[in-house]
Amino acid sequence: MESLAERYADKRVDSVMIYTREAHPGELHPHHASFADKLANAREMTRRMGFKRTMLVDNYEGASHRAYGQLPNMTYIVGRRGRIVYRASWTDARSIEWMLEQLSFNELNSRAGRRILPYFMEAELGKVADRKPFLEGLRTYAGMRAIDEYIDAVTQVYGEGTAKPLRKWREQAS
Amino acid sequence: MTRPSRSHLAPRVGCCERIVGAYNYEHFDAEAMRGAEFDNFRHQLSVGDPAPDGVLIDAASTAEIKLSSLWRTRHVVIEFGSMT
Repeated sequence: MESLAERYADKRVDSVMIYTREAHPGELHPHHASFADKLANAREMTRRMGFKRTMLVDNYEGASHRAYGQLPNMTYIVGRRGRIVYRASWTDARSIEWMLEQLSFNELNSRAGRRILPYFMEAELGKVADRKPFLEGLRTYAGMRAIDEYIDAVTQVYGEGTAKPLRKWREQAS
Repeated sequence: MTRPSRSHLAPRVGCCERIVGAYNYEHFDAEAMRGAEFDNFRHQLSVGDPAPDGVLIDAASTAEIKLSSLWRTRHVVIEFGSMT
């Protein structure tokens, strides 16, 4: 997403990150007890992830996060007239880049005097359900408590069969 | 003496019916994993809708940024996320 932001910055596209609640609070990064906590974590995230994009923080209760749907890793593209032109429940750089190309296409043709007729589409895409990189990320940024809570939640929601490989990873990790 | 209800201190929000008090939860659990927001996402907003505006804080400078000031002249990619 960072390289995408850089590549499209000169095509009249701004890219920002809105920092949310901690989705998997743990001993390394607990839940926010105050707005000051939230701001401090947002700054730390910028530093540790090496973000160059503007990092924005909404209020303690997550007003903007909730207004957009409250998912932990969602992405929107808003057009210059303030209308939503793309929304996805998961951040997927490939489909975002595809959409930014569509916007560039529209702009080039519009500048050439051609009328752009909008049309609507929906799509359901897929991502690889590899939970091991996710667990590695949790170990680095949240801690083992968050991993245990995640595995417990998977067990309750999806059953022991789904949780079993996660427990095996957990045993090897400790 | 009967304790007064505190339900009025937990306003409900949007279509998701999640209480604000639970927003910054301390522990991830099955309820968080099943979160109603996952089902509601398809219906809460749609392509073509006006994007929700709001005033946020720039983490680097602490300046207030109005989202609509960003999309006045440029397209804006808005990614949401956290450390964990």
